[in-house]
Amino acid sequence: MSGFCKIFNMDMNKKDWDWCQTSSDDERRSFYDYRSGKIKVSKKQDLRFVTNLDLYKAADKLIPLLEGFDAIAGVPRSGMMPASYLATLLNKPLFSVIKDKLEMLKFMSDFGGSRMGGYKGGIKNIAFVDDTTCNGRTARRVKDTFGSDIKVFSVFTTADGATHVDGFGEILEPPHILEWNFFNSTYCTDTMFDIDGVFCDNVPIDICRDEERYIFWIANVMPRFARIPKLFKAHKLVTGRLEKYRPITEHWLKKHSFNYDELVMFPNEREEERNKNHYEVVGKYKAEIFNSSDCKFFVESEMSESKFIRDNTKSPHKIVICPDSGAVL
Amino acid sequence: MDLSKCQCPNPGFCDVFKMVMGEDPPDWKWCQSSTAQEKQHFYDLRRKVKPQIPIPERSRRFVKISDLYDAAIKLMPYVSRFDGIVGVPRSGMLPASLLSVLLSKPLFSIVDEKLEMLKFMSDFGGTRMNNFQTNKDIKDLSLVFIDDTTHDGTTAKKLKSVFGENISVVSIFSTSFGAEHIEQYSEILEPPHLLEWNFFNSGYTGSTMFDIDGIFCDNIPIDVCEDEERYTKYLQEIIPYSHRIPKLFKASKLVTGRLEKYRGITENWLRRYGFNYDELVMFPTEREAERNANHFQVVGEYKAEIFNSDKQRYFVESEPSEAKVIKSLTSKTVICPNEGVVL
Repeated sequence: MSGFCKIFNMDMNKKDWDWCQTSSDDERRSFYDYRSGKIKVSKKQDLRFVTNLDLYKAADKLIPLLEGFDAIAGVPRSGMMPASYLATLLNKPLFSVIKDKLEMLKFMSDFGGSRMGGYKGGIKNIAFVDDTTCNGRTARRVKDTFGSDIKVFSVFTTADGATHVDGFGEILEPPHILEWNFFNSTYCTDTMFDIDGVFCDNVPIDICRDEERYIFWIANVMPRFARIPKLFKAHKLVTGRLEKYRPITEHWLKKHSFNYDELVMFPNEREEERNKNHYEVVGKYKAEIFNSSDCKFFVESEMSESKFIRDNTKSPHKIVICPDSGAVL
Repeated sequence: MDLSKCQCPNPGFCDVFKMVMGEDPPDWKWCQSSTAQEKQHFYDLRRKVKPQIPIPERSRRFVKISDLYDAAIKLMPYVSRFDGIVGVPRSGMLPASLLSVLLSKPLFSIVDEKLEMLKFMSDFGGTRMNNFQTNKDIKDLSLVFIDDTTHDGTTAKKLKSVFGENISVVSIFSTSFGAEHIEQYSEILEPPHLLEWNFFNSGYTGSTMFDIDGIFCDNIPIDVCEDEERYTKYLQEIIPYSHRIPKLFKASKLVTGRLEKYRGITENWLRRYGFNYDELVMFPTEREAERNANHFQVVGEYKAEIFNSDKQRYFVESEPSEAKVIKSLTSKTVICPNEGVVL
């Protein structure tokens, strides 16, 4: 029955207990190793914004685990980020998946690029690498497709997902707020986004004060391409820009194919009030919009404005993300 | 020349040794405490140094992986106008995978001169790409080919001969003479291309001498060094940095301050982990006491002597202070990969 288990040294709730009843010896052994610290688990961490560089740093932790493998396979697409990094560092051939077929990527030589011309050795066992594991669906599908003895490694995994992979770099509990994925993930549909400083550079102050130059700026500024929501519809864009600039702003968003539901702008008639105390007034306005919906995330560029949004947001479950500073409030 | 009194009052350029004397040996502090004989010895060694042929300043660095990604990101405005991204195997996949994920575009690569889209959980990639939409046929997607570095343009030329002269090839780093073969680059990087992700398994390893401790494995803690039994055990059991083991190309020489008497253990260890190298040079056992009295200076001089006695162009050293000693005695290039410094 469910309760404290002396072997695993943890409380087994009903779900855990069911798992233990139905799992194989190997599965239990692997979980035991993980619980007993043979597989290292970082301490429970606070919410954080995981940067691209964090991914590669955490991928380094997989290096000792990959020692015995002849080649690395990346799970498309984002699994190719750590996989290509690790294959290059460890001088192993790099594979990927094309539909349900495993293929070695090669061009200038039989095992990769020109440097791999000197590679010798057969390829028997291949390690699959993915960037993140949440519920383990991809890992299970990899094993279904390529054989249950295939080893799958994930750079980040939730504690739940850890039971589906054969090794990982770091435990990362949900929500997975990842620089390389957040702006085009399912979280988008549950997120409000600031515009200036998030999707393009902040407007310089001298330009703000000159209407003509301001209009030219917001019509022509280059977007931050990596952050344009395309795959999933962003819930709302909420900006301190004034309502009167709506057509220009909407035209710019359309030109760069932003996928969003609604644009909320700041009321023209409150312009003077806003200019006196920008962060606080706009921060409170954004908090008001945030409170009025059941959206979970707000992405804001300015740290000080983020704090106003956080302080004026009632629900403790709502999360304010400040991507440039990497802060999650 | 009377070297017994020669002592600069503070760090700076020393007229006697013709070099900047800083904070680390064989510099200012070393000079303050060394004997006339030691100084004479160093003076004689310095006089043999031939004038330097400098590496161009902007290329005078050990390029870190993070530099590759920073430079790749600068290409986003150009790359974003294409429908899909092709990574050139293998190392071109590093920037290509990053850019394709950041820009939410399908990722392609090459298998035997054929272009293939990488996909598993959906028709255009992973789970998230389920939502990718395009009104074009897959074969009509406009593609950009991405590589990490371009040297003489061989790969770019081959890409164009296989996939058509009109394709766009982009390289994150390119030499100025390679740049004419590609459509776009992020930064000019003149040779030598000293790259963190490739140096230890590149054509350069044949003309490079490598330090061992701190380069291929952790430095040995001082308390372990002082206990012969623990030291021997440590040398046998230490796990090497697997990403730095030279395998694809033969490293010319491994030159270590470890004593000759540990040759058996060291060679076993190198063999066990598959090091591909030509020769192991160790420190003479009979000079142990001398070495221990002033490790950096004595071992640095020894390494410089080996370095100067052969035609190799690069020395990879873990300790910056020791690297400075080596550099002070040679006109060739000394690399400190942990710090990303090239002297």
